[in-house]
Amino acid sequence: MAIPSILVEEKTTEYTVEDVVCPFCGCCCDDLIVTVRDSRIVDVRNACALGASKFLHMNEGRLLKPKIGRFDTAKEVSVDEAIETVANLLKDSSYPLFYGWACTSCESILLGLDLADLLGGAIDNTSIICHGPTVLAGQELGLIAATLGQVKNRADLIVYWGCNPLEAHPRHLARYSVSARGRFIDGRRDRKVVVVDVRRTATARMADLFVEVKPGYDYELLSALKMLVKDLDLEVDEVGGVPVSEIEKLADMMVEARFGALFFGTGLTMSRGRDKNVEAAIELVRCLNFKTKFVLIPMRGHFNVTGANEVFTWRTGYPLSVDFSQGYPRYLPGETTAVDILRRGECDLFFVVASDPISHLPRRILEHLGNIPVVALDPKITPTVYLSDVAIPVAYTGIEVEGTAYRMDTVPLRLKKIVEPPQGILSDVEILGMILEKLRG
Amino acid sequence: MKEALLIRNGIVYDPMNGVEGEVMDIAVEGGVIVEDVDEREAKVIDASGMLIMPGGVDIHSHIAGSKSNIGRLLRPEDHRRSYEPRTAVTRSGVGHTVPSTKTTGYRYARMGYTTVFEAASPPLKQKHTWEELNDIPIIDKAALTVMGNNWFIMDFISQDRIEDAAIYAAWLLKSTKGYGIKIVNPGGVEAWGWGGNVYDLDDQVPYFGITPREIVEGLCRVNSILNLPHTIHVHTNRLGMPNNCWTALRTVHTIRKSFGGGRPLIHITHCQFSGYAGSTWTTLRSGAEYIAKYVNSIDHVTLDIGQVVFTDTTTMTGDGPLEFRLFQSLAGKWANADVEVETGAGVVPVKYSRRSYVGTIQWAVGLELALLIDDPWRVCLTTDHPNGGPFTAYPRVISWLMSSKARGKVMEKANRRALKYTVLPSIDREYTFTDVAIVTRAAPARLLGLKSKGHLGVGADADIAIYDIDPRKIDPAVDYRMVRRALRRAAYTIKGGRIVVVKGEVVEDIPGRSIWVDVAVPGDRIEEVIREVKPRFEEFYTVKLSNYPVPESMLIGSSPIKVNPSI
Amino acid sequence: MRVTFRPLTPFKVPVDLSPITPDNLEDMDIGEIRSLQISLGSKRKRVDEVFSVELSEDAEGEVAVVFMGDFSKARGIGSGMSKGSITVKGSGGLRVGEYMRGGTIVVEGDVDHWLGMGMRGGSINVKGSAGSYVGAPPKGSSKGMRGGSIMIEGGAGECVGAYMRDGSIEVKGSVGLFPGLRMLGGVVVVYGDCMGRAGARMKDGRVIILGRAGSILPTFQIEEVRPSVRGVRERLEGPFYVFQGDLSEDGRGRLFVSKQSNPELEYLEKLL
Repeated sequence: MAIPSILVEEKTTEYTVEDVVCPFCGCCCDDLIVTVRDSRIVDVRNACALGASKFLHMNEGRLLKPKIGRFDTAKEVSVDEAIETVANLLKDSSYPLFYGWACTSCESILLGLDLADLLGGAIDNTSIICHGPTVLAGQELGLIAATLGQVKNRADLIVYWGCNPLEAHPRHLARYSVSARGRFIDGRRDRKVVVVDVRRTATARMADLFVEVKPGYDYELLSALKMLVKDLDLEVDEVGGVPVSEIEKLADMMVEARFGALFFGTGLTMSRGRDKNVEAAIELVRCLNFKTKFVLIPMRGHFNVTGANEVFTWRTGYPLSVDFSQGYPRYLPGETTAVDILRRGECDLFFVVASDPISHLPRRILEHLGNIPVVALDPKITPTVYLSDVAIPVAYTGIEVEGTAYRMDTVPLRLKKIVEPPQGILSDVEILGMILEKLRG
Repeated sequence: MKEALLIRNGIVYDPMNGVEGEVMDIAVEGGVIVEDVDEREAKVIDASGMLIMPGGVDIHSHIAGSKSNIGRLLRPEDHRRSYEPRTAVTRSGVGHTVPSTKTTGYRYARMGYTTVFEAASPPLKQKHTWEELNDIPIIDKAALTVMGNNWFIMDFISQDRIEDAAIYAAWLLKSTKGYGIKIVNPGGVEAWGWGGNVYDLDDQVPYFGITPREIVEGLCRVNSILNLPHTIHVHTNRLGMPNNCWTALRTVHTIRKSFGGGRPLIHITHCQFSGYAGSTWTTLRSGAEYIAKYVNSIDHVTLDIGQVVFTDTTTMTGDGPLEFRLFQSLAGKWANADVEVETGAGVVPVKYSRRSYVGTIQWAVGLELALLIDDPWRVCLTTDHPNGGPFTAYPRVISWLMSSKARGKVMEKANRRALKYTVLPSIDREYTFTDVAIVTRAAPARLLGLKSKGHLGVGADADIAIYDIDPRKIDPAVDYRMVRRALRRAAYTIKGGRIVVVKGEVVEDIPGRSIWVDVAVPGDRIEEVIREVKPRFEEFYTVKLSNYPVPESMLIGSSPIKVNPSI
Repeated sequence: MRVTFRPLTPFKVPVDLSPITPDNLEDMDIGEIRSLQISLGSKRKRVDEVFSVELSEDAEGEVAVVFMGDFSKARGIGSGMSKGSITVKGSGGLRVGEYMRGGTIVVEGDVDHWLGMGMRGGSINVKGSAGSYVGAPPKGSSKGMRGGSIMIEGGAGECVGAYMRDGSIEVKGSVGLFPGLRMLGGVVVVYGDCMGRAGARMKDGRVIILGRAGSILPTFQIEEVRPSVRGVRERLEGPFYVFQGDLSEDGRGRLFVSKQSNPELEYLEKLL
């Protein structure tokens, strides 16, 4: 990629890249201005603290050399040697599991799917531990979605359910929802904001209505709302700790909205009931569409976890948890899901790309990793890299390599290359390509 | 490397060059058809007793992009009944009605199809469309860009600034690597942004001071100004509703004044879904006769049929309100995906049953259109994949067109009451192989303005389909089963001079090309319009203008077609 | 005919046992059985590379298949079978009895998820516990169990009997959330406790909970208190609270909840 507007000064080289897409969260804000001096990123404007810190601190704790060997026995090796070792491990395996794919480009995910297809392994992405339930629910009923611009231009009611964007997606409110200005809506004063959560979060404090639901009672509350929207009576006095009068108030607000948007987070997808909670939310929005216009949009976490679902779907038909052991894509939650495969100790190799499962999967599930080879591709030293038998450093997607990512509302964006990766470090696309070549060889 | 190929003694149907079943040799070198090759250096295919046609061209098929992928996501049960294991040369895949990317390419190639147009792509999500098209192997691809509900286009038209609308449209095509102007339920999808719709050509689009009629007329003028290779490609208002054939005809009629002879002005896509008379679902009638009568009397319209086949399939369209209406009546799965500033989309699985009254009418309408319109050059065969049925049903549809016996077989089991309100039982026209070659290759290529496709003349792309059937020895009206079988699995498919399919199996997995239109609007005029648009663009969209275009480097085998507009 | 399969070594990767059903083995001799292809992870193997196979002809009548050992990594035991019997002397893995049409399956240990997936007939008896989605259709489909009977002596996971249309499922132990989810017919009996949300979105059919019911959804309306209710084979003594639901789906299903085990529901009697 050409690096625009290069300002050459005496001795120091400084340039800025504009309209950079932020490779941090699912908001994929695309208005960042990044300044680079002497090949180092020195300033990031427009980003939130979370996004800026990824750019500014990316070189801390980096993995700079491929290694072979676990923990302290690790030895530095060349890229070629590491790739040779990985290819041999893969050749010997009869059911490798590929996992990760949320923090990399679609190009890289496609190569991962190539590998799994070629070897007859299983492949899964990290959405299983965040919004996997959303896609599972989508398979039952269908998602009723819109891009964020529909919300920005039209929505006069915003509902945040089980998410706290002020802390997790800091720019979501200003760019896309609560205070965003569009063609028909002039910012915050034209909108009502509702937050449904188990505690009064920062986001809840700026809402017009905060509904505090008992932890684990989202399904009940959504069911009650569905009843009210369908003009049916509730026989109980409270649901999930919320008095019926308050539920009625929320139902009225929803029905009276001209364009309502329900954003939901892991508070809904990862609490008691998981995908069924999302199904209940979809059912509610279906009913609302008979009376007004309503959409629902998941608050996806990592910047390209949505892309992982998209790429998996177009290549295999299934958004996550795909198994190729029979020679074609198969999918069944609970059978082909990475956590279940690990729990039953069924894979004989664990290949991690752009993720740190050791830190975020339950310990009980990870016990099996003591018995099988683990391979990791990562830009930095993570607990997974530390535990792995082979680890290969890769460049940061969206900072050091370009590629495509999908925003939480499935809008595709091109990530930019802003600086060169450290000497000798390749992109995961290049590394996966080399492994594939060795295997096809 | 110049690979030479000589196909000997095939029975060739190449209607664009007036060849109707002549035994001849075809020579290929460097990916194109040539006068002759050196026999000693060429690979020779003996095609004696085999049918040869140009590679198939599909003018309208939903194969890639956001809503195809929503369809895939929505239908795991569809994938389980149809899967393709990996082979030494191909990747695995799944999907009966919404096949995965690789499988889509292989299945088209196995039927002898080599060029497919993705029917509707919203510019904001066109990167997604191209990522999927890149992953579809073998066939050449292009994408039509939806513009019929685009705010900037509607604003320009309502301000009567047609030339600026044209410049914006040219910029859209160029920056998103689109091929032509697609109009989906003009104004109606914008109204769906508020949960509404428009029901007539003269309904007002809320807040835009414009009507569907003005949008169609405006974009038709835009198309003429830009000299685009294809006409406007229109999915009419009221699609899929009773009594909509009049809406379709009025849509065609309204632009007649700009027609001064020469090339057609409008393409009515999946016309079957716009071909109903009768005011309610229970009194639904076929409107194909009215449409055919009108089309036969004028010259400025072309259409593809959007045939329905009796199967369980997945409907998907940019027409959001249509899918919501379908969901209201079926109450099954329903996905919706509005796209800011531009369009919407919806996906609903349906099942067309021959026992059903409506299903039978729908089935008859498509065939009636194909059989009652005299000039096959103005008709293309489609199923509006996957809306009327998957593209893999084309051989079945062809057998119905070629054989009234085949149609009779279906009618025996179809809904009797429905058949009374169609004229299909009384039609005895049967397509010849020439007609078939026209509606599946030559006509779509000509209507799309693809000069090197759809024929086998010297200089044409060497996209060739060879089928193991001898048209001199069989009567398709009787042996329609043999025709169907042969067309399902090409004996050979040659794409760009490479043999990619042998005996119905893919033998080489090559990437296809990505075709788009590069309209040479003077740079300063584009800059002027875009400078004016930019502040509002960034107010309405959630992406920066600079992040909106699809970089050409994203396209595998980018093949722009240069177009000179009258600006 | 009785065919016994013993794994030569414990399984390290998934093993697909769907080809080994009484229907398939019926006309085979020992050589043919030994050369059957099954998949072990991504590799294709002959049966005798994986199992020691023992055939005893003395048993009269239908084919009896016996799996000895730990089959917790197995898939599809008894897939699509229509007759004969399968006994698993150990754990049974995933999708035991999927698309089963007849015959019997007995598993002496536990089974994992998707027991009796899309089942149409026959009977399954699990001595241990089962995972989630007992009798449910494969993901994305709405064609659940259409006949046959499942008896689980232990507990079961979530969504027991999802989309069920006919047949019966009995669970002696406790179940997770959502027994009878989107049910359209048939009966689910839970002798133990339920985590809650029984009968969610059910349109028809019956869910009976003899233990604690967990949370009753607001989409259910109490109808009456009944002294006893028809179970699968015998009448179950109550009394039971009878709910109609799921009203948000215009459901005509019935949810029976034991009065004794759920004293906190007593306030509902006021509504009658």
